[in-house]
This record gives sequence, structure tokens and C-alpha cells, in this order.
Amino acid sequence: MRTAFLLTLGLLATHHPLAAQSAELLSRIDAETADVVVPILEEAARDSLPVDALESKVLEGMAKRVPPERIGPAVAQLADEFRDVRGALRQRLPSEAFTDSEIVAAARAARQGATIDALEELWEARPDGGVLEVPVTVLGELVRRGIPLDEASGLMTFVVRERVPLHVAAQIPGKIDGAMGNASTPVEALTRALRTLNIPDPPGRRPGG
Amino acid sequence: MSETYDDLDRYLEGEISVEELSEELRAEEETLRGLLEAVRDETPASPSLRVAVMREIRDVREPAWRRLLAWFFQPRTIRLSPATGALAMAAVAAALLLVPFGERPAEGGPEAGTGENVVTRFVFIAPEASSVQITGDFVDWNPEGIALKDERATGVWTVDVPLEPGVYQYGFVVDGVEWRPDPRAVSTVDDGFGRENSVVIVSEENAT
Repeated sequence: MRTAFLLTLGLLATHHPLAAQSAELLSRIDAETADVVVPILEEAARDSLPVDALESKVLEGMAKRVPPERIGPAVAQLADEFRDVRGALRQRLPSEAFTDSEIVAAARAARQGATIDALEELWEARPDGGVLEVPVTVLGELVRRGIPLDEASGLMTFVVRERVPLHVAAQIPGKIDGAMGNASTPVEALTRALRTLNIPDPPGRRPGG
Repeated sequence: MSETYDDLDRYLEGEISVEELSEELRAEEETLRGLLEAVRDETPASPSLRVAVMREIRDVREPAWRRLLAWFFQPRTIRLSPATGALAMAAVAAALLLVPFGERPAEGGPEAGTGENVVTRFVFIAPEASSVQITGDFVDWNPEGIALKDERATGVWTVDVPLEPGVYQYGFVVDGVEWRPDPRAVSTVDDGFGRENSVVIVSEENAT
């Protein structure tokens, strides 16, 4: 507690980029964990990565009583994933701005098998002001469920372009799960899911899968 | 007369005995003692009377806001060591300097929520459990989490959590020790620690 207090004061006194977010974090972690994770978080803050998500991973590790030597690598790996996906998206889409939640979702989707090409297509289809956290998450979930990447990407690009309500799009993975019992393939389950949700087939998609 | 009352004072203080009082004062003392005994032997007040009296007493208490106001404005001494005082002032000054007034988060910053919470129901079936909590990134993985209730003692534990639209990771903690993913979750992800987190997608009905 004393260490956390001193660390917080130190961060405040030096106008550290972590200061604003980290008071809560530092009040909950021990000195040993702080030694491991603070350098990682500092670097992430300097790189404008989604620090909240990284801090959350630290707190998750603490809650699950994970030893510091395992929390550090997990947080570092997550930071690397954020850095990689954001770097790739910035390279493809230099004029776009990405929110923290979009970067987190994109990193998760990439882990599930979504490619940068597929993510790029989503951003290119994005209407002004739209936040892609949910569509990107659903894209990753489709790929994870065995929907071919092209098909998943085409569908989600259509969903974004046609402004299908997010609460409807968010139900696609669950509806696929529900349809799997009566479908022979994930693609057939997707077709049933789209029917249930009244989402029309994207142009070029063969109805019925 | 004055000497007489001086004796009475000394008697009441226990400095002299009743025998040392004048006859007149002894008579008065007896009368007073009799009255005192009579009051002492009075039948105790009934409970309902006590309740009524206490209610009246409570009713005439100052309202809470007035007591708070009085407490706030009442001068009091706060004792601080010079070091603590200096640290407190430094912390306040640093906090004031760091807070960006009216600055909108740019790229890389956390986006502002819509402020519209969506009540999200979580259900977990665990007939053998004596307690179930949900915790996740929406409560900063607070180990105490939010308690689910099994109101009908059927083993179906539920809780409604108001959440801003977004994608969240979470897990259930059974009996305070056992972490379990949500079998009803739309997805699970590797938590990086050898377990899995459940995922929930929360979206407003009118969001596109």
C-alpha cells in the first residue's frame, strides 16, 4: 500500500502519462507486480496504446492470484498485439483514427483469424462517425466459428455499409450457435442465422450457403 | 441562616453526618428523603410510553442536512505533520495540473461512453454453489465482483448489470474461489493466464 502510494505520488509529481489512469491500479497491486508491469505500461502509454485494457489485464491477473512473473508476459504480449494491429491498420489507412476499443477488438479478431485485409475492408466500409468495435468483434467470432474468412468479411462489410443495427449484428454469432444443431456446416448455420435476424444476403453471397 | 445552609452543603457533600445537622434541617432532610424514596418506587413507565417519548425526542432532532452544515462550519483543529501537509498540497496541485479541462479524447484515448447503460442479464446455473459472483473488466476485475442471486433456491443464479455499449470480458467466481467461464457466453477468449474469459457484446437497440 505504501509502495503504491509512493508510486502514485511519483507519477503525479513527474506528470507521468500513466498518472491519470493508474492511481486505481497502483492502489491494488503489490510492489513486486508494480516492478514488473509499470515499465510495460509506461511504454504503452508513450505509444498511445490502449492502456486501460492493459491495466485491466493486470487487475485480472491480481484477481486471479496469478504470480507477477506470469502477469508481466501476458500484459507485454497484449501490448505487442495492440501495437502490431494498430501499426498495420495505420499503414493501410493513414487517414483513419482508431479508438482504443477498436484496437482492442481488432487485436482480438486478429487472434481469432481475421486478417488485416479483412479489417481494412471494414474500415473502408465504415460510415462517418461509426465505431467498429462490435462489427470487428463479430467478424472475429464468425471466423472462429469456421465461417470462411472471405464470407465473414463480405458479410460484415455489408453489415457495416448497410448500417445494420449493432444489436442485430451482435446476435449473429449466438444465432449461428443456435442453428448449428440443425445445420450440416457453419456456413449453413450462418444462413439460418441471417434468416432469423432478417439480415439480407450480401450481394454475391449464394443464398443457402 | 447562612450558617444553616452551609451545614446543609457540608452534609450534602458528605463532610458531616445527619446527626450534626440542626433539628430544623434534620426535619427537612427527612421530608426530602421521603419524597426521593417515593419517586424511586414509582412504577416504571410502560414500554409504549418509552417508545412514544423516544419518538418525540427523535422528532425534535435537527435534520441531517442542518447537522452536516453545522459540522462543516464548526471550527475544528486538524493536526498534520509538515511532511503530510506538504505531500497533500503537492498531490492536489499535481492533480489540478494533470486534469485536462474540456479536452476531448483523441485517437488512442478512451472514447467517451454514450452514457446510455443497457441492462444486461447474466445467468449461471450452479445448484451446488452457495455463492456466485460475476467479475470482469466492467468492474476492473474487482475480486468481490457483483453477487448473483438464487432467489428461488433452484440453482439458477441471476443478476442484471447496467453496462455501457461495448465488448466486455468476464467470469464467474463460485463460492469465492472457483473461477468458471459462462457456458452461455457468445464467446470465450484465452485470458493469457491459462484460463478462459467469457465475452459479452452489449449494444443499444438504436445503434448502427
